[in-house]
Amino acid sequence: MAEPLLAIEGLEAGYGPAPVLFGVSLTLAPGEVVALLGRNGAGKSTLIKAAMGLLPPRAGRLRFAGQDISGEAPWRIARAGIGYVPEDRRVFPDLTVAENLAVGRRPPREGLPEWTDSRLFALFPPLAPLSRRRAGLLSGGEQQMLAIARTLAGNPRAVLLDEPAEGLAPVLLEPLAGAILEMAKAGVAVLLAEQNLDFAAAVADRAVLLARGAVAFDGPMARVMADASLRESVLGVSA
Amino acid sequence: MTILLVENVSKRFGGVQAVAGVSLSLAPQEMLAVIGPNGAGKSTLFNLIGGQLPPDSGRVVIAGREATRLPVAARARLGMGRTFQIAETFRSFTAQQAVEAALLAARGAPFRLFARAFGPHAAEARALLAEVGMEEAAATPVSTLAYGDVKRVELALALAAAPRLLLMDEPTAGMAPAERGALMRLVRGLARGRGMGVLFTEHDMDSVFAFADRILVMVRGAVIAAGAPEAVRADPAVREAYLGKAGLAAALRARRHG
Amino acid sequence: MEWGFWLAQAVSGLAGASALFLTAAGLTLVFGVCRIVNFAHGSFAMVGAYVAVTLLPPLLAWSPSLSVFLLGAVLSALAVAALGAAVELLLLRRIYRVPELFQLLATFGLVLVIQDGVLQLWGPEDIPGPRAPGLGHGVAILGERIPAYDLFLIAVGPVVLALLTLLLRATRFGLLIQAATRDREMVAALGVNQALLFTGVFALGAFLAGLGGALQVPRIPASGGMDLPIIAEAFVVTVVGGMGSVPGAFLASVLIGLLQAFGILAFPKITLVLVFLVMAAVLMLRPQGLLGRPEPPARGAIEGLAALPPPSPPLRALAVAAILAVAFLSDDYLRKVATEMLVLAIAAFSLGFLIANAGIVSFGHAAFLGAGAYAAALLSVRAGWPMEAALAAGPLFAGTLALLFGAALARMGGIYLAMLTLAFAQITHAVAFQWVELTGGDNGIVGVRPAWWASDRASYLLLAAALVLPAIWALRRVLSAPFGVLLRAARDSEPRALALGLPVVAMRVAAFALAGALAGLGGAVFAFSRGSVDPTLLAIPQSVDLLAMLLLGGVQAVAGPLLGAVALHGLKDAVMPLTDLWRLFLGLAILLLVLAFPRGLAGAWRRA
Repeated sequence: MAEPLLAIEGLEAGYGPAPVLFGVSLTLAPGEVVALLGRNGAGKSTLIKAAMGLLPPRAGRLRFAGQDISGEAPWRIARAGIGYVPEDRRVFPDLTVAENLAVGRRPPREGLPEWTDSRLFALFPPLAPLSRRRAGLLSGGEQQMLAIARTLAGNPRAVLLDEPAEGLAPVLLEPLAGAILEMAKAGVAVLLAEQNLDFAAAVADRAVLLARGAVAFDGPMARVMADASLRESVLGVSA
Repeated sequence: MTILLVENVSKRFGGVQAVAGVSLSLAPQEMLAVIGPNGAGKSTLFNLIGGQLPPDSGRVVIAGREATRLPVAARARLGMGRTFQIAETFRSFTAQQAVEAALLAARGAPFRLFARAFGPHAAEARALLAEVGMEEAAATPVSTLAYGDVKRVELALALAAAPRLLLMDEPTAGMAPAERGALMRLVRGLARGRGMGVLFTEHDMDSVFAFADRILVMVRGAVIAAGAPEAVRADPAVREAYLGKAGLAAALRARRHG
Repeated sequence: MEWGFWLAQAVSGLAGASALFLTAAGLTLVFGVCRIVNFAHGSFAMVGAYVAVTLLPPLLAWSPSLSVFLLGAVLSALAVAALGAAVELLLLRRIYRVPELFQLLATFGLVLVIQDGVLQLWGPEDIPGPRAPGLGHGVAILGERIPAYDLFLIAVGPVVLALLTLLLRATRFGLLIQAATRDREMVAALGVNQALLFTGVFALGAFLAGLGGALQVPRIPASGGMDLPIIAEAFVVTVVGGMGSVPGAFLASVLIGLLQAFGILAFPKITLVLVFLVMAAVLMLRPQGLLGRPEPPARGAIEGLAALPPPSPPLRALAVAAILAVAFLSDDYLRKVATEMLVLAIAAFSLGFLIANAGIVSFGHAAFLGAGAYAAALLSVRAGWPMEAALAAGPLFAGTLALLFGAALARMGGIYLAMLTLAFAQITHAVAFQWVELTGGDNGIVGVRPAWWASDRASYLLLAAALVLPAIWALRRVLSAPFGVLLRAARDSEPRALALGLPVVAMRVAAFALAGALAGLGGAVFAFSRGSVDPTLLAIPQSVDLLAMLLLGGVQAVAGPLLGAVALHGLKDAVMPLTDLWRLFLGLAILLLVLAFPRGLAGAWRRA
């Protein structure tokens, strides 16, 4: 495996008095798609928010592209090259699609092709005719695409995707999976927190399983799909 | 007999039909779960029943009384209690005081200026705390309790009004997995013992299938299936929309390797 | 003739509306992005006016043209923008995370500092501004002479609205403002430097306030007292228009401007009351304002405050002993001071009850103190009522006023209510000031004499104590009675209180009326002690004094407000004779308090 792009070591975080993560470590290599799996409440969203600086970590270190980013402000972490797509999308409803992309826009990074508007619309064709529509009027699926496109407009080296498949109609999942694979092909590393196991399996090479705020498994996604007892014990998913 | 009757309620926000003609009924002692993906309209339905939002059409009947346009407090007086996704408690009180305050509120004398507030309902408050397994924490300030315990205190606050209908919005959200089963078992025991109807939304499918008597599945504002857990689990429409994705998995894999 | 007259009124109203819109637009933009309500925003407008009256005469002497006039106005606004940026960098940046009450107090500290700063730099006299070249004449329309400058100002409003809209929709800075108004955290997660954005928005807001002040100078001279009326009007406009909405601010300022212009015809003495009534009506129909969007209820304004503790018998004995000692063993001066401290103590106690138990932060509590005083004084002097009846009427009148205010606005929560209490107090003050026939205006009402049996200072002190101390003790009983406890429960969690069937709004209204009546009792006692009442009694600085007493004494300490009253009174007595810069010192003290203990102060409140 190449030099990790993002390295999380011994991360502890939580809300108010309640701890959620108890010393989580994981790595992410350039162009890699890692699925972060676990039941509701296992700490997936907390991990992503802490990595983004949105929750102050209580212990542990975050390294990104050779820099120590532990305890940095979110905007500095974003500028260092980490993109964040929140679970509830959080598009700016009063702004148009094009304006949402403009807010996310940052200069391109060395060694990565720039995500121009035309490339973004090629990645998410349904958005192209909507560029002048207010984001608040988009459907849930379109908002999800916009949220990802807005983050990509910042030309990140890595993207933290928090449950992008949640609440989407099944017919939208296939193009979404395609877009994530395209991103990876373009050299963007993706950490995908997901509940939908099949969706994760379709895009991820590697899986990190969280249970009760700690890493229960870190290995190939195929192992997770092959090992029913692992899935049952950590994810509570049969079938 | 029916404690809650919802007839054909709808709610639209701008261009989005959040709830589209939903009907349901709930009997005493019954545990009815509403599930569905994010954005399916569960929260809106809850707010229509709870009185936070007025429906565009349809009606809500609580304990046989027309309640469609009643404010929250009036519904409470008809016997509706509620817990919230993020627990709503009285943080500046001890657990015991908080429950005593809830009892005072439920007994309806909020404008008494010179009586003693704490004391008259102390024994009753202690009994309620015991019912939710929190008697040990009676003297602990609510603000210093662990979150799982705060949720139990919240349940005691809701029970103080002796509700005949309890709405629970994601009762196990934010709780440790080990605590979830215990809380749901407690709720089911209360429903059976007090003859209280419980309507709840829940993300945690283990809790839903283990503790609901009936399940209502919502997708894009409408009910696509309703019935006993086994029937819902087997319903092909539900499997496609929400639970299982057998066909989808194959399609996704084909896409990846194709 | 008829038509021309109406037109002249409309023009005058709309011209005022333009300047008001500029100031309010700045306030609303700053609130939208930084989530801070800046009490010093009116002070920025005042500074803009003073810089303009300083800068414009030499500029116009050099070249008397309209473009130079406009250049001067913009330069004045830029100077205010620089002041705003400095304030954001040095002060606000440090307090974005402290509870709202402290933010409000800190910006109020700034108001005091700027007041004294302006006084030092420009002196106490009003300074009229130069006329705008080419716009000094009148235009005859429909037989009325309409000032050309008013017509020019009317055009400025829409032009600035258009420019702001362009800025918001067509520049990256504007997009970021709009995005951050909806979701600050997401904007930061997209790599936007928030600190820079906040400073920029604050400077923009200050620029708009400064421009509003500078453009007013040909109509209204720069004066040291203009800051509070401006901020009160700007509060009304932003709340009515919808917090964070620039078009809403425009709509509301036109509405308020016209109301004032035409209201003066119908109710010449109480125009401002009309404004207040219209505001209350709008907010009852649309609590989020004309063009605002509903927001989740604000939380954390006073989070973590415990309620006032129950009464303590030894302290009562001590208070009674102290009063008796002063009444029988000291001189008349001390007796008078002790009487006034009792007055301040009950005013501060009732405010502490509102804040700590009901969760209502009032920046206008002195309005009820003053209402009680005026009612007692008027009934005694003008209607010839005996002292006993007038003393009883004070709290009744103040309580009724508080009941009406509460019924109209108690549905609004947190910061909105705080802003509206300030606006209400400003309006009450204006009524006392302007309705000269009834209130005696600036001079107030003199010759308020106690009954024969209470006419010496010792007897009056005993009477005051006999009225005030039992009232304070009764209030303390209420705190541990169902009403007080459930009020605090509703403060902790309104959704929970409603879900239990509590009539939360009615309880808040009752709390408001109770606190208002007690403050009014203090006011009535004060009127007979002082022998006169005047508008300073219900001015906003008096309200802030009451808040400062609570802060100094600590809301939680059993005798907190009393100690605070003593401390503040003593401090004023000690500092005021030594220096003219009393407000500067008080302002700096408030700023230091908030800056030094942003959490510590809140923490200290919590621990007690």
